[in-house]
Formats: sequence, structure tokens, C-alpha cells
Amino acid sequence: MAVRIVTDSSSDIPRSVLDELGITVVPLTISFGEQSFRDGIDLTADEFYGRLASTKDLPKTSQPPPALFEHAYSHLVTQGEVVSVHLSAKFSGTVETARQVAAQVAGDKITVVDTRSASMGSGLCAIAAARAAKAGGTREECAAAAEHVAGRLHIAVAFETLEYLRRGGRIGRAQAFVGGLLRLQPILTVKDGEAFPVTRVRSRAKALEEIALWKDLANITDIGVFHTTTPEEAAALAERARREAPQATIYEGRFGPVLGVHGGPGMIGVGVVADATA
Amino acid sequence: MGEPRTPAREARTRIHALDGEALARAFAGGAEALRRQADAIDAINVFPVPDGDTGTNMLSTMRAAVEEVARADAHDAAGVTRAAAQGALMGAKGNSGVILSQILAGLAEAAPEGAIGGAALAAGLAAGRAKAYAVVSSPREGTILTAIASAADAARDAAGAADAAAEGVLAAAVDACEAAVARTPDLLPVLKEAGVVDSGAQGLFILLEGMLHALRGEAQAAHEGGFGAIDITWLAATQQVHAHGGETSGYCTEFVVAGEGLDPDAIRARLRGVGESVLVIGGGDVARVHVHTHDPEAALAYGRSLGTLRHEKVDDMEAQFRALAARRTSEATPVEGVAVVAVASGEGLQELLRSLGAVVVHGGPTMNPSAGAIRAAIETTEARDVIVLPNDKNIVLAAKLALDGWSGRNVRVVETTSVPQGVAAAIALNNDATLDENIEEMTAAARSVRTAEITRAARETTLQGRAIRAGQPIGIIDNELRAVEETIGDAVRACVAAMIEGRAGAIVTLYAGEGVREDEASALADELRTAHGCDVEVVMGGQPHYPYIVGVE
Repeated sequence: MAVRIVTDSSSDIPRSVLDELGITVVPLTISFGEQSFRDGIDLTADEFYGRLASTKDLPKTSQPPPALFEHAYSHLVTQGEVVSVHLSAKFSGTVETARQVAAQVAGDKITVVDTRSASMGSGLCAIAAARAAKAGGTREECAAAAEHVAGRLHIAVAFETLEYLRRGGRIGRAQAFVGGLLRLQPILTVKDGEAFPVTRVRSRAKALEEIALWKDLANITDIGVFHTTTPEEAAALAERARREAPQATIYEGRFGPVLGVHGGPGMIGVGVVADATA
Repeated sequence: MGEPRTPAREARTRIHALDGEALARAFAGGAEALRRQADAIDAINVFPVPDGDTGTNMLSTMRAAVEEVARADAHDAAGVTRAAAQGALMGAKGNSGVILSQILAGLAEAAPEGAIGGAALAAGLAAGRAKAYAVVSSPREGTILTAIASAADAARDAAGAADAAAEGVLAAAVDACEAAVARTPDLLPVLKEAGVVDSGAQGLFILLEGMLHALRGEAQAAHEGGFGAIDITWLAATQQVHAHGGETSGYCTEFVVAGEGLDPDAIRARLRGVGESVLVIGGGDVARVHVHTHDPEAALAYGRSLGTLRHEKVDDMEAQFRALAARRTSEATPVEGVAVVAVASGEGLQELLRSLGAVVVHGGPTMNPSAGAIRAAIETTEARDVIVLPNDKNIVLAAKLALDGWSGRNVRVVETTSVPQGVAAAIALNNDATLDENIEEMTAAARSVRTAEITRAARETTLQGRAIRAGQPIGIIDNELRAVEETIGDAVRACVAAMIEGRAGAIVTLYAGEGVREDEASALADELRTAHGCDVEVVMGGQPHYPYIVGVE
């Protein structure tokens, strides 16, 4: 029986890929004031960004209720073993809840992986686990595939503004990039589960050039190109990635609400699975 | 060459060796000679814009040397020259001041403990020449470097005879220096075109000649216009203010204004609205002004409304106070990360650089900060790694001088020579990257920027074959005169058109200077946006002298 792969909705894996690889998604919760939605089920990304632009108070995201993990795991362990791949424990309690529920349901059949990343980063890890599962890998091999990708992830995300990150209290070390009298596009990365400032540039064109990370990497296997509200930019960047890194599998996608609430409109990012060059 | 020739200089060779007392007298005499000639030296700066103020900078550097000698209470040659070198090092302003500090450092290096004889003096000048050439990244002949080289060669020849007298060696150096000054227009075409000699070379000649006069006990020329009286009263008065004044923040701002019918009471009344500890001495044609203020630009702008300013000096008191406090509590462990110290004048530019995370040193063209002021700013950062952005070609060397002798800290200079370069470098700062990575990124960012400085010609001149009227709007792109126009707006338009050519997706930043209205700047930005289809941003920089500085990247 093939190993089953679970992830959470913050992995932002495109629907077609989820279907193709048979990945189960546990939704986080998005709340606008009193109203709560299950990410990706009751609220689409389009609806979310529409509301985000018009709301005064920032929406909140919260980890999935344990019952949702319990429901998913209980169902799946009847079919085989499970690898559950999630966003960094430094960003959310999701992975911790997954561990606790897994231990209660069937500790010896479920491996939980902390990708130390988020969104397309953890998504690429989950995809690697699912591919290993499809190839007949054991639970250990699937988890190792996810960990291996986690160790080879290179992420760069350009922001129109850090205002959302600041208001959401997740600014961290990127605080140094807040403010300023010029219009600047900050670029951040995710390292060891945390957001770090990389650089700031004066124009969108330079920002897009800056995040085209594949230029400087070797042995590239996968590239994700994700956006919140600028599909044309993402499509053009993905097209360029196809041209310049023809050997890689390219995933085009959209940041869901969990990342979008912190990045805001205009956020665009690239994730590359590759070896760093010397 | 300013000074009347003294026939005595060629003949007598009486003073055999220079002891501490003789050296102190010589340095003071040299500084005094520079003081009398500073304005004349400033006036022959060939660049047709308010630039580095060579004479003022050399004077300021030499004054710092003389003050340190007085403070050090040294009596032998080694002690006095070392104190002079140390004072000059900390007080060095502008490129010429930095080079002068290196010459004094050479003298100190060669000085024996008792007294300096002819051979030691020649060795000192030779060491000074070597240090001066070493501190400049691309030495040009026809400058102060040629002057010190000629002086050192002549001193060596004169000292060739064993047991040569110091006075004779110095006299030979002075003569050779004067001859070298006369040759500078043949070596630097830009000087010949403007019909002047090099100001730094002339400054060195004035200094050495002043030292020789003082050694021989020859009378210095009389003080003109009662200015000397102001100078002496001034020192006493400002010392009192600083001993008893309570302010520990803001800027200690000083200048001398030359105008007509200056009323000290009116100046005092007006400046009390700008700051505290107001001191005004003189009146009539010339007045000397001191004020502690949070808005030095306002004080200087008011001064400029009264007449021509000289000896502008702006010190950040808070930085000095904090540096002092830091030294007292001392040995605080430097924090991780990279800090940036940037030089800028104009409140808007300073605020912009602060918003990018920089510690700001007040200064710029015509107001070169001393190496000491830059050191004080570095001390306030507490960071282990510090990058200094001089943002002006005349401040690069002073910034480099501020680098030495930090224990437990790494201080480096990214050689930005304009405000837009400095802003680009500051933007590229990443606190999480290493010092080397930051230097690489910031240098690349600075290099990717082209700069135009729009100003009015300081005087009538001919440059690169073009006749320029005094006050005519001109545009300088990357230190090269590129536009001579009838209006400031046209100079901006011409420079932007020249810089933007072949740069698709360029971003133009207009840094609007003192006196430019925001609606004027916005209208110009709109026009450029339409004309070139590029992104144009306006920053109300408030910098003096340059109605616009333009960056294209």
C-alpha cells in the first residue's frame, strides 16, 4: 500500500498537482473579524485578496483545529502509513499540533516533517514526498525526500510593502527594511524557518531580476513561481525559468491567504530546489 | 604667489637644528600664514562650483595640529612633531588636509628625540612625500603631490652636505615648492585653461614659507581689517560657551560672514530663534558667528543671506557627547551586524539616509567634515562592523583616515563620491550579510548610479572650451561639465537626457536643494516622466549650493 502524504493549506500546492499526486490537505483557518473560513474550502484566494484590499483590520490566520488532523490521519492510516509535511514551527503551531495528533492516532505509522519553510517552500517538500510515495518509497524514504528538498531550498520573495508583515507582528529581522522616504521593493528569504532580509531595490524590474534565483544555482530540479495579485508577472517569470532552466519542473501558483495576509498585494516569490554554487 | 619674496630666504643659514620650541613656533607660523591666505587659496579652486575649499581645509587641518601641540605640552622634536601629526590626522578636512596630515606624519616619523637637523628634516619630508602619495588612490601630478615631491628632492640635495643646517634645508624646500607651484598649470591642463595654479600646491608653499618666516623671527604681514582681533576674542568666548553651555544635542555651528553693514545685535536676535549659545563678534564688513542648533542648515542659510560665508564648521554635539560618554563607560562590547555612517548636508538628505539606517555626519561640498568628526560618528554606532559612505570625492580621504586604530571593530569605506551613490549604497545594506558581502553589494550598487549635480558657476571661467558666466546654471555629470544653460531647469533636462540614453527602465531621482519649492520639483519630475517614459522620484533634500542633484540608475 502506497504511503499517503498530508500537508496543510499553507503549502499552496496547485489543485492539479494535489489531484495528480493524491496529496491530502488540512486547512488552516482564516478569520475576518467574527467570520471564520477554512482556507481553500470556504474561501478562495481571489475572494481573500478582494476582502483584504477592502478590510481595515487585518484578517487572522490560525492553525487547523486538531479535529481536522485527527479526521485526516484516522482515515488515512486505515489505507497505509502517512508522511505529514508542514510549514516551519517558527511561523505556526501547525506542525506541533500535527505531531501531537499523530502520536495519539498512530505514532508508529505517521512521520511529521517540519520543512523550516512555508508556502511554495513546504509545498515543494510535500511534492517530493508524494513523488517518492508514487515511486513506491517507504515512509522513511518519503520523509527523507521531503527533508532532502528542505535542505536544498532557495527562496526569494519581493514585496511591494512590508506594511502587512509589520502589522501582523511577523516582521522580525526584516524590521531594518521598514520605512524610508523612497519607494523601495524589499526582498526577503526564508532560512531555518525564519524570514531574513536580503536586499532592497528601487524598481519592480530590479526586484524581479533579483528573485530569478536559478541564474546562480546548480543541479536545479524544481522551480516554483508564486504571486499574490500579479499573475502576468508570475507567468512571465515562469516562462523565463522554463527557458533558462529547461531541465527543471516549473510550478506556477498563488500564495494563499496564510502567506498573503503577511505579504499583501504585489508579493511575488521564487523557490528553487537546487545546490548552491560555490 | 601672494607673499612678497624675501631675499633673506636664499642667503642666511643660521638655525642649525630645530628643537621642540622652534618646531612649535614654526607650525604656528605656518598656520598663521595659511590663515591670512586661506581665502586667496580658496579662490583659485579651478572647479567652477563651490567645491572643497582647499585653503580653508588646509588651515583647519593645520590649526588642529597647532592646538594639539599646545595641548600635548611636548618639548622635544619627536614629541612636538608627533602631536602635530596626531592633531592634523584628527582634524584633517578635505583631500588637501588629509595629504597635509600625511606630510606631518612623515616629519614625525623621521624626528629624533632632541632636535631636527638638516638631514632629519630632509628624511621627514621624503617620508611625508611617500605617505602622501600612498594615501591618494590615483595620484595626479600638477597638485600638492608635485609640490611636496619637489620640496623633498630639494631638501635631500641641500642636506647632501654632511651637517647641513635645518634652516637651509627648509629654505631650499620652500624655493623648490614655489617653483613647483608655478609648474602646476603645465602639468594639469584644467589649471592652464582656468589661468590659475593648483590651490593645494599653493597652500603647501604658503605653509612652508610661513614656517620659515617664523623660524627666522621675521615679521608676518599685518592682520588685515581687524580680523585678528576677532580671532583672539573668539577663541576665549567659544571656550567659555562650551565650558558652561548645557546643550548635549544638536550641532555646534560656526561661520564667518563677509558682507556690508552687518549688525551683530540683529544677527544675535535672529539666531536666538534658531538655537542656543549664540555668539556674534565683529560687525560691519565681517562677523563671526557661533550657535548651537538642531537645524544647522537654517543658521547657514541665514548667514548666506547676509553675505559670503567662510570657515563654515558644523559639529554634531550629540555624536561628540555620546562618543565621550561611550569612552567613559568604555569597553562596551560592540554589537553584531553592520552599521553605516554617511556624510550628508541638507535636512531632507540626512533624514533619507537615517531612514535607510545610516548614522549621519553633517557635511558635504564646502563643508568637509574632519576625520575626527567621522570617527566620532563611528563611535556612536556600537556595531562591530562599520561602513563609511563619504558621498563626496573630497571627503573620501578623510573617511579613510578615520579607519585606523579600532580595536575589536572593522571599519571600512565604500568610496561613494555623490549623494545618489551614497543612497544606492545605503539601500543595498543588509544587516544579516557579512561585512565583505555588504562591501561588494554596496560598491556595485554605487557604481550602477550616474550622478548629475546642477549648480551655478561660482565665477566666470572657461572650462572644456566653454565660456561660463558667474552665476550661470551648469550641470556636472560624474564630475565632468556637461551642460551650460540659461536656467536650472534646462540644466536638469540636459543632464537627465544625457544620462538616461541607452538605459531602459531607468529610475531618476531628483534631490531638490535648499530654496527649491516642492511644486517646482514635482512639475519638473512630471515633465521628465512624460518626456522619457521613466520612473522619476522626488526627494526634498534641502542641500545647499546645488538646486538639484540627480541620480539615474
